[in-house]
Amino acid sequence: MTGTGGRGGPPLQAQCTAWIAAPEALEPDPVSRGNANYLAPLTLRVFRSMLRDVPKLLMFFLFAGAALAQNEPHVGAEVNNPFGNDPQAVAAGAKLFQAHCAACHGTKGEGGSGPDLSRGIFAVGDRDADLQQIVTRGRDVMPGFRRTLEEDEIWQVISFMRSLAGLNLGTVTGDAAAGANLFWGKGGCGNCHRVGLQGGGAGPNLTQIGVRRGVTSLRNSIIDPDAELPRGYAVVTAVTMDGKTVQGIEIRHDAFSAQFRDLANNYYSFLRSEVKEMSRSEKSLMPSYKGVFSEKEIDDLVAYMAGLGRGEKR
Amino acid sequence: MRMLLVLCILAAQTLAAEETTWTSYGGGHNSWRYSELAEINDSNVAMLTPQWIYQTNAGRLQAVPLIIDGVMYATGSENAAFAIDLLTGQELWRYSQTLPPGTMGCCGTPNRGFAVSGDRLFKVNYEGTLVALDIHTGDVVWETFVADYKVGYSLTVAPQVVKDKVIIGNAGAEFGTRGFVDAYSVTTGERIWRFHTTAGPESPPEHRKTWSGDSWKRGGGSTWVTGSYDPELNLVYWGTGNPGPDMVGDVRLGDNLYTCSLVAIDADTGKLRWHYQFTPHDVWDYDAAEDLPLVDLNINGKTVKAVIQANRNGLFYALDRATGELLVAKPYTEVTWMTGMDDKGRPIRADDKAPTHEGNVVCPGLPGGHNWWPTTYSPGTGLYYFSSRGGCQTYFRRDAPYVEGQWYQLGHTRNVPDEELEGSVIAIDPATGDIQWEYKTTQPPVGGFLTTAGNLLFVGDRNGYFIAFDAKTGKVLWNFQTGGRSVTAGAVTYRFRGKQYVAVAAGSSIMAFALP
Repeated sequence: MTGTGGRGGPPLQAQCTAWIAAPEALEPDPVSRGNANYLAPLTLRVFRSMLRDVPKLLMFFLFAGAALAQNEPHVGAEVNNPFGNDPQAVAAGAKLFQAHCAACHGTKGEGGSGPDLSRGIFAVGDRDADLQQIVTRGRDVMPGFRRTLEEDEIWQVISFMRSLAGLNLGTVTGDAAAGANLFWGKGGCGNCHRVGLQGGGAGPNLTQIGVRRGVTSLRNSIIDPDAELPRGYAVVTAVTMDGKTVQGIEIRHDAFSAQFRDLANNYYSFLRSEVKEMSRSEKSLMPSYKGVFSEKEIDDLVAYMAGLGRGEKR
Repeated sequence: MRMLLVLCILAAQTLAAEETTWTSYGGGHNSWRYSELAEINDSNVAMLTPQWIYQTNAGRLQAVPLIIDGVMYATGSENAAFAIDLLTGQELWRYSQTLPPGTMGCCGTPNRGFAVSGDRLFKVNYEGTLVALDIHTGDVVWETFVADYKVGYSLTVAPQVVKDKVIIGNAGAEFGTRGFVDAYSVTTGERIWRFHTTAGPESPPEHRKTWSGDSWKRGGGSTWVTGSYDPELNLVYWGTGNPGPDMVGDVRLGDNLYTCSLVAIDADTGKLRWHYQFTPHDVWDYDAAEDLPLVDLNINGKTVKAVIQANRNGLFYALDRATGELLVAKPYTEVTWMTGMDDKGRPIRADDKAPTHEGNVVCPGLPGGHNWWPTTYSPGTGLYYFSSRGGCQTYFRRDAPYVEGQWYQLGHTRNVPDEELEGSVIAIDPATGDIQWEYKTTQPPVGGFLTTAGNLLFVGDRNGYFIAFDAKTGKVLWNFQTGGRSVTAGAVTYRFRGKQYVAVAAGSSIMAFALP
């Protein structure tokens, strides 16, 4: 019997979120498994084999968003927006969008700390059902709106989002190739940021940044890194008993201790009781490049970053 | 001047030794699970106290934690993994990947831990992928497809890093899959070589002929426990699992190479250098996946570079690790499937021991003897320590055709009524196979094995106890109830901030111990 070590762990269903609690996901009895068909329903199986066998398709979906897998149980569900492109629904959706979405996606949907919605392609999938799912349940830092908005209101927001399709409000003017040169060359961005297998260091991974942020936000992050400090990049400073100051990016920070790593990825862990001072700030360790790079160089860099994640496997 | 230099070196060593690491499943290429640390020793271990407990909420753990630069890295069931601060036991990052529906396996979705190279950690995901994570953040650097879960493959093994390669094996022999040992580039995740553990068209004809018809295609031979590596010989040593179907041999006549074997593979090319088959034509599920420590033995006054194994089939073995020559083969528990060894080092099979429709009692039973449970070798005592489950089982066969993706064990076993279940910790002299001491328990101790220069043997049992023994004598010196149903992973020890710790996964928690 391979892969053994006794029956492992508590039943899967106790730890799975609701959407995966399909019978085939549950841990089977090891003997009865042999007699049952544990494969997913046909549609799902075909879809999965497409994913596996057609790398280009896979890349497209990956570019479109890492949350694809989470939506698989909805594949085949035919849920459509009852309002379609009804002008009244678009107008109602525009108002709701200003109230609930603009802070992250921009007042026109051009993107901000959240993705640009005016390209007509969506990281989570392009069908009405995909959009309903993400607005309803949220994902990563985006909250779900199922307790904030009525079902009809969610569809109205989606009608509005659809009306933006193809406007490409977040168009970039820079030269992406020149931006790449700057990023990997004299700009030194790759010392702290990783893109795919290249680069590294302490800063955020930018492999998918082009589909996660709008261009305004990308520009801001270069000229004013403190403005939209990404979650997990606060700074912890400790002064040791012998007066040495150690500073790095926060991993944890609590009443008794703090853990952080500096820009060279050295790891530190201190008890409060063993240091002279310990503090936390939301000021980024990344310097502002305003005045360091020319306006054109910043445009080029934004153009390069806006293209990251489009068609690239993570 | 020379004195000064020596002092400088000593000072540097002391500084360097302030913190120590544990960077692989077996505690080094030789799979000893042994540490030179001795601050915790047979005179003070009775005072060992828990320092922190990290609750993973990730099923029952089988992972050997890695210790690097103040951080512990471990994995759990259901594709979970975590980085833990050594000072406080707090989580620094967590990785998880939802299992797709439809994966198959015999025994939950365990994972035995990480391997590391530079700033990358490597782990397998149950559904058949190998991932590289950024050690600082847990971000995925690359993910590579290894084998298809839809036909019954699954991955549970802790990878082995050898130079620029990550070496892994598979699980899933109960589904009619074909086993392999794979090597991938640490940099890109591309596959560099694959060695198939059932001899097929690419194998020498005399090996291929050990399978009737095309039975090698469904022949099992899973490689689900991490191997060892000899840098001088540049050979990796992996144990292979049972042939498929497990309990019906008629559909796969022949020896069924290289199942239930030890394979010595060139680390650069993936080519087979030598093999030794412990159980030719197995029908009792006697995987040879168990640990393979590399030990230099004194045999008849000569030092021999050996590889040793306590096999699931009830025998302890030592082999010349350069040539595969059999040096020692000796039962450590009751064995009825064979009666002895012939001149060529091949077991002589007992008559009428194959599983039947009515049931046939054979010893050891399906779980072994010894199973995959982590083991340890101490150069201090010169002894090899492992656990054993005593007793026999009744083997039943079942006849059914192969269907892709379906359970293909074709049989089952039952405990023998009135036979009391027992286990033991065994300390064996690897040069002779003689048992030096044995400690009887009510259940087989299944994990926690670790030895140190402090004359200590740590063992975890199936009742949740973590126990320290006097490694020389087998006397119990300390025990602690972990609250986990069992301690199923190897323990580790390390020095952090000048103090020695012992850490072990028990149940779904990881705990660290130190002296007060």
